[in-house]
Amino acid sequence: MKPADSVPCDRHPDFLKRFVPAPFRAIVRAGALAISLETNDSGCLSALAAAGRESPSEPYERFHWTMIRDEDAPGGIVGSIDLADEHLTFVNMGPACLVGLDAKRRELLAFIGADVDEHLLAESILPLFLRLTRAAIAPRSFTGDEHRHAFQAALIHE
Amino acid sequence: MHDSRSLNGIGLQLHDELRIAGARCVLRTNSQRVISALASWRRETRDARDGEDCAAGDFEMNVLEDPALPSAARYEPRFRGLHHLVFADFGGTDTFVFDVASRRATAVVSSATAGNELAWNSVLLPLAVGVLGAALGSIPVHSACLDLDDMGVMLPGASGAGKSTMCAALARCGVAVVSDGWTYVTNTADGLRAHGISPRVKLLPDAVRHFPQLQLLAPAKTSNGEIAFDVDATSTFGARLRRQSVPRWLLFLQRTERSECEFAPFSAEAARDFFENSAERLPEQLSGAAARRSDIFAALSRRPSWLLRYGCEPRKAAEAVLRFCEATR
Repeated sequence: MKPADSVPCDRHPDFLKRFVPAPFRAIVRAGALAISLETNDSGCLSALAAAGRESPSEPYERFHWTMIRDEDAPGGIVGSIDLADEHLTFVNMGPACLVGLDAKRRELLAFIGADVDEHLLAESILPLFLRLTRAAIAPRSFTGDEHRHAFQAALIHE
Repeated sequence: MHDSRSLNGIGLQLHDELRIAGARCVLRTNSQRVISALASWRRETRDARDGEDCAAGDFEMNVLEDPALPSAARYEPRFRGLHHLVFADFGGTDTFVFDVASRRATAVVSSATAGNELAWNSVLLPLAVGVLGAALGSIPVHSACLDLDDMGVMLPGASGAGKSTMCAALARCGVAVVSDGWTYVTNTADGLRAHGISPRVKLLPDAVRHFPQLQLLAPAKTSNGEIAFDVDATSTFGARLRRQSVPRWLLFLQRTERSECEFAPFSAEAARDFFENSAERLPEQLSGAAARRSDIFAALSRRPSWLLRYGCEPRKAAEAVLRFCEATR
């Protein structure tokens, strides 16, 4: 029998879209936050830059955001399901907006659907992310009502 | 529309300890339905049935039953992941979040899902171990596994290589089934073990030519979107179920046009390349898990391996496999 040296396989599948390139990078100051953003969408970058405010004299907290525009996630945002445990917060607003925040690692990781326009992004999604981030850094400053308000704001623009 | 759910230890008063695919799972939930649906994985039950063995690793699973959530129309998950986090959404209802680095799964499920033992066994637990497996040391391998007198016959192969067909054909010959599409491999003080979670076998519609048992069934859309028969190997083919086995033979499957069944030696390097190349890429945040996975792939690849090319009737191929295993014990 002749020895075989290989067999076909599905090479390094990326089932989860973990390795979508995110070439756009910036550090944006938003109040007491310094957010280092990585994204594959320049629109996300400019929307966050517009939402940020320069306040160089304030002390700041660092947080990392990764935002991926997901071309395979159709539709707008829908009623949300959110979960929070010890240091993790997750918000599921349908296929077009999935976001997880790890307070311990100071990371926010999000997938935004292709149909979510820049207005919705700027007016609702980014303010929600900023509120979640501020809550992770200073939990006591972020009440349940504010949390609820953030999500409602996101839904108003559906 | 929006409801915030906190799982900070509040409301998850029910606890259990499970043993799934060689890993120890600490389950916390507010739901007696979840406890009941997962009772067959309780540690004492498992150890009594399968023999005590070393656990590969631990993980936590926190499950909140929310009666307000609608039932999932289909258990067809949509996954996304970044860094150490993985999200799984079942059409805006059941939702799972995995922190792979912390080896923790957090979920909110409808009452219908909470008590659905079939959904847990065929979709949700394989999902959890599949996502967390590299961190746990219970490594998902794209392979079927059967058990011949406490010796495991693993059937790795790419999609379409015929793993399920061969698995069903061997099951009809009386061989015990450990797993079909995914097998979870551990390497502890007890040595290598191949574990299964679900005895379900997925067969494409044309498999009805080879398996008359399927004639009364209808193929349907499965959790990965393909149309297939999704059947329980124990009830459909009369197979015995084993939850684990010791890998003894690795038979890498390859379809051929020729009506034959041929075994060729397959090197450890080639076997390892297959496992490494077909494994999901892991991000740098999980480099420790990736290294542990590579160690297990290397250990598994040292088991005797062959390439099995077959294009003949599945029944004839299964008989050839049994003769081959008998001759090479």
